Amino acid sequence: MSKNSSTSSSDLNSFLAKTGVFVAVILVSNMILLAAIIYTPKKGISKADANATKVSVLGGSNVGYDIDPERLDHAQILSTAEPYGFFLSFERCRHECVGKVLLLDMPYSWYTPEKYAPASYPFYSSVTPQLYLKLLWKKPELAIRNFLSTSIFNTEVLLYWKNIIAAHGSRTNAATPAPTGGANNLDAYHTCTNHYNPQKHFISQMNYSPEHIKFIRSEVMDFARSKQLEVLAKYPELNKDNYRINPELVKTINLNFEMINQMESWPDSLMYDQWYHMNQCGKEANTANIEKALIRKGVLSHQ
Amino acid sequence: MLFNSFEFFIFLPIVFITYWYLLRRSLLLQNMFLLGASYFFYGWWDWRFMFLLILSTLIDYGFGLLIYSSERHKKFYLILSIINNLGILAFFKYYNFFAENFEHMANGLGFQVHPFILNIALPVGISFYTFHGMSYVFDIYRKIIKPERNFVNYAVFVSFFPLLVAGPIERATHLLPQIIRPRKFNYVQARDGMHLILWGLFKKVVISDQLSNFANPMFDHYSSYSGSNLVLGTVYFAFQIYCDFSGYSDIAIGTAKLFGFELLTNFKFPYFSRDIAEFWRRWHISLSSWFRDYLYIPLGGSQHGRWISIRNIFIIFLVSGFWHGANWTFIVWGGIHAAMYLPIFLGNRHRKHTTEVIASHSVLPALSEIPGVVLTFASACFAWIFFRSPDIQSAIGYIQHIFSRSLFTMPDSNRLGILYVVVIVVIDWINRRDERSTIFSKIKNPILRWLCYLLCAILVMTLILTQYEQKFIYFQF
Repeated sequence: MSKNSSTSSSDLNSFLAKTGVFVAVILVSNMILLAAIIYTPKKGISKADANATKVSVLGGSNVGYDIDPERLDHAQILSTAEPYGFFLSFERCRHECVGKVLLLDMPYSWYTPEKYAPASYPFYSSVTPQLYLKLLWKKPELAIRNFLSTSIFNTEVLLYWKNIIAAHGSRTNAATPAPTGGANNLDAYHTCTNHYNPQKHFISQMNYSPEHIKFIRSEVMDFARSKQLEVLAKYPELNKDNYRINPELVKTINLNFEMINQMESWPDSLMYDQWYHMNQCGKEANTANIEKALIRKGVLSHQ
Repeated sequence: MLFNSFEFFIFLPIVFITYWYLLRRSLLLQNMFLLGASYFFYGWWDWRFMFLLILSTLIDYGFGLLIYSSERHKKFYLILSIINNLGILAFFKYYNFFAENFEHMANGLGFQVHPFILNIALPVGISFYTFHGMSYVFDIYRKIIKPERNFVNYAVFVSFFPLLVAGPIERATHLLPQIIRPRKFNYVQARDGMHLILWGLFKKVVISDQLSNFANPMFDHYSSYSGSNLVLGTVYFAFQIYCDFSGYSDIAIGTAKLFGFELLTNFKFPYFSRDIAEFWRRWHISLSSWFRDYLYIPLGGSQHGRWISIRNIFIIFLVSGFWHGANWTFIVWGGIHAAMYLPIFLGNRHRKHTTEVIASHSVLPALSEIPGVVLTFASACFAWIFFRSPDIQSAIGYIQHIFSRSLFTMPDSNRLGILYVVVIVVIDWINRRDERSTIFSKIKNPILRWLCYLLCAILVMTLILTQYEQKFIYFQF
């Protein structure tokens, strides 16, 4: 009996030791990969661009696809793919944002806790050790998730593969392509053909909490104070169903910032596959509207 | 708590270490701890429904004792127990279905009725734990087992966390003796358990969840796709649901092994079946055998003439369909399977493939076996269209769009999903002769095997942490 018991005990120790080694190997490989990603050199913004810019427009892929930078002079478009989430997008803004006005056009998913620092594309292109520590301090559970998700499958190698899947995948369900994700993805939007196919996914179904919305507001205000920026906001371009379902919720999550536009029901003919994205005709119409609004606010001047 | 969630990866090692290191000297403490952990696991989803689980457990425990102690009234107690179990199930799962259908029917007859509709979530796993309880009471009634007097042991049987929310549907005759018996840590069993967990996660996260990205839009917007694409969508869904559910079962069986338990096998490569009877001996085995033992045989099985047999076949397939959900689509799905099973049954060919898997002694199947496999798979896929569609109208629309001129064109999107299908078919083919084998046990070189573990683990972890958790399909049943 005692021999059996000691055998069982040593088996257990051996099992745990092997499992422990296995977990340790994964963690160490993550640390190596994370370090490699962190210390990859990054590009900065040119001085000439910085001097000419009056307004920085920050948002997700909607900013990349719904605003035409060629038609909006003196504006800097800071568009990050949705998976970057609020935290990384604002950190990017902290380093790159120029001008005196920050125009927010954030996707509504960024106001949900799970999109604060999502683990998708975790630190690709923008993380620093300081940034990682900052996230660890603010949201430790998200920092751990980000660390664990760092793998060869979640870096540029797989991003390339994901883009191939997105290009071959369904028109209605493909992941939002990153604005830097390749010419093929961008080309798909450069058409006035209406491909819009509404999906059963609405703003009102997202997971908002009043505490998190307040937290996001305080993050934005702290950031604006530190950079001495004036903050304006705009309603994103959405298909009509999203605004119609719960306008009060939309007003709440816009955090009482000064809005430069109204909730606008964009016709399906100007939308592309997802509810935030417009086709080329929509993009042109929307850019003209934004330009007028910014002129009215005195941010931009008449040409 | 989902098996493919971050929380589970914290929960499992804590429970494992406490169970084996701190409590291994006391069976009672081990079982009490397993019960607590199981309630915590269940309550993580919604703690309020934990009380329903406890209530259901208490009632069946009580009826078990009553049936055993009273020969005179045992039938009465059995009926009360069935009413209780089916009542819970009917209230939470089927009430709205019946109310809505009653409203439609009454409106059709010119009466304006507005029945009260429940606005309540379906308690996760309700169909599974009520079936655990029912099988226990039936077995006591039939004097196959004696009631378990220790409530903790019985409650662990009903609530054991690996099988609590989506099975396999265990039998008291199989699991209770394991709960009562002292358990010792077994290295080989635990290692096999880890293999199954990793392999189950791979099937769920890497294959099923990725295939869902291809299949979902086709079922949601079938009118935008060509017939050939829709055929592909059906195949994707067939493998999505297979990898989802068999992946879940693998994780459940693997997790149970870590704690020294052996659970029933739930899947045995169903898509290699040569006829629909074999398919049902290989698909969701714990449910189909449950219906066979507690419904089909008590109804008379095939012993009372041809017409009674036909009636019984339709009953078990329709009830099995309805068990999956309160929707006509599931009933039609069951009906299609009954209709496909019937010719085989009437031709007395339903026991043709009862033991050996296809190509059990060769690398490739015999030419004569291939048409059977293809036809069975195609029939199963056809039935899946009803299973997956939100309503009958959509299912018919989907089928109509398949049988259009575009059926004879090359699929123009979502072709990458074929890669996932090929991966799982090849691996399953290699494993087909073993009941619960994983790809890892086939790799003899230890370095290569460990590399394979690492590759799978990193891939699974990356996808789990970077994607939204996708619920297991069978959680809704």
